[in-house]
Amino acid sequence: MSLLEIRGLRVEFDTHDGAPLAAVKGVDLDIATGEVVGLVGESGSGKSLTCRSVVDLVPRPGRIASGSIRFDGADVRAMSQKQLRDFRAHSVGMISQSPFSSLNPVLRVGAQVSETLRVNRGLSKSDAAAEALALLERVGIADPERRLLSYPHELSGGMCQRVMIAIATASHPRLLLADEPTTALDVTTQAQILRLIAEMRSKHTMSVLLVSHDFGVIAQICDRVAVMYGGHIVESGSVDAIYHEPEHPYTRALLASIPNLDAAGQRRRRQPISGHPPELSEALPGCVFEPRCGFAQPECRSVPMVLEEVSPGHQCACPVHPFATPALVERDASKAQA
Amino acid sequence: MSDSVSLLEVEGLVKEFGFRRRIADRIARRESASHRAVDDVSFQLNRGEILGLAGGSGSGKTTVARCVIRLVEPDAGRIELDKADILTAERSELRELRRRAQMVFQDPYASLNPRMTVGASLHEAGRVHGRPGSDDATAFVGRLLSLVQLSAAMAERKPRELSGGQRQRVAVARALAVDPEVLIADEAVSALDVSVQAQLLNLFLDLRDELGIAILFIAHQLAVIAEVADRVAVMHLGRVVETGRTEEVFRAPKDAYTKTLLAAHPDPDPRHARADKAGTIVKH
Repeated sequence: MSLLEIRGLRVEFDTHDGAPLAAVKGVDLDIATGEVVGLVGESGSGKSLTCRSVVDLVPRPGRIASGSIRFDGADVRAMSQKQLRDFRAHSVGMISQSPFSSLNPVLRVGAQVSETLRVNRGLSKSDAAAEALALLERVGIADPERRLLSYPHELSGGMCQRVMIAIATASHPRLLLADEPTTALDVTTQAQILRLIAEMRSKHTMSVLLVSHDFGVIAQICDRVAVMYGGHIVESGSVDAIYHEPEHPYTRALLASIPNLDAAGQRRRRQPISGHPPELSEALPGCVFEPRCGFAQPECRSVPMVLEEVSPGHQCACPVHPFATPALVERDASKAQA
Repeated sequence: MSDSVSLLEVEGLVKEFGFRRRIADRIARRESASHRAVDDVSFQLNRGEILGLAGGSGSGKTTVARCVIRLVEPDAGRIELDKADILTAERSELRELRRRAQMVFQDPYASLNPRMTVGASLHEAGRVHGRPGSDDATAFVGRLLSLVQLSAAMAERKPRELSGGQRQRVAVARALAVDPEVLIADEAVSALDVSVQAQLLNLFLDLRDELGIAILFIAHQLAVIAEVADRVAVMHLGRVVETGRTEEVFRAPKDAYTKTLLAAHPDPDPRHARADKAGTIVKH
């Protein structure tokens, strides 16, 4: 059974003049125990909101309009404030893009780690101090005794992110929500942080939801990936399948625009995606990618987006199947006959 | 591109920043420690060439760029634009040199006046520098917008009404308004989504091909540099550690830091991603 099960998640923003704007429009997502799932998409695709919805932390004036979020069978949306606090403290950990703004600049690092331990795990002051030391060691911070006494501004970005990971995983959560955890970091530091997340996952059988705009980051540690565009998941599957056999035209266009080291010396212009991503105010009844899609058919404007299995574990929300394998075309044909 | 006529030459560039550390030093305004942000940097940029400047944060890339047009005053070294010495130039001479070397920054929203329409911003730049054709505002703005592949209707908009990619195109157009010979793009595509980034990279290549403009292209992402640069200079701790043709540096890096940087590049192919990463990551 899945550890996290999101069904039909819809996040809306209320406006002054009537109709609310939908930023996430019916997302289904499952994460199994110990699995690392990536959520990739461009800005405004709704990936961060989906991630924050898991702990019911959609920023105002946004709100979860409908859908269900189940964590280990428990309905997150039905939780009382106290249950929610408990759930956020023990079951999930969260790290964000800017480790500097997540830490309190006027408190020493040690105090911030210990505070978490005393409040969430009820440790005594001295136990918390000892445990804080162990936690910093666990996330690979050199000279942890000295670092406990440091203020956040005295640490590098990578080190701050390690501290955030230490705090987020202090009570051994079963799920880590990582929202663009390495976007503000250098490539060398990024590689170290990703490795740390991968290590913690395998040592503590922790599930991870990794949100990133960079498929390169996703490819490093994820088992599965869901591609978001315009508030919908347009395709999901194993990272290998998504990278090597993308089925949705958007996924294909997205992957084709990733800059590559192999381009050095053999310069060719990349085919850009024409047009622009949909505005929140544009409500499209059919496929959200239709206005920019080179494979669009007339019915794409009206048929609602539904994820369908194209091969085991690989789902795609494109009924046109422009890149379909012969087997799939056959299956569709026999379905149409029946 | 093949005629290697040097346009911009930088030699032995040094820039130190002093900072006051202790409270007593702060009160006395003493500079107790200095940090060498740029340490003996030399490179040259040829006409119609795109030179990538790579390196991690704090490596001195941006300081080098700012020194080139004297937004910060270098402490030592020589910078020549088409044989004219930038460091000794004054007043009108410096103004003219700055016109010939224009900068595009990472955040276009911060570099465009939010209260001016796109058209007014573009026209102002041309008018101030007395560019030919700038007396006819509509035609002048129209030509610039078409150079960056935006419709003429954009002239009426304010920066906040534009998307990130459109805004960055406007920032490029504003730099082009004064007919520069060198464009310094400081992380100009770093804040953009990949699909928009690909469009902007194509634009830079088009500008080089159509206008023969030389570009100093600063980026921390090596893959972005691989896409556009003819040659690359890799910086680390204020020094240029390796220079060469992009394909040679990226295929067979000689410097240890370049190797580390390349090894850390997140390969989007999951089959490579894991295989070559196991154990090769250098810990600092």
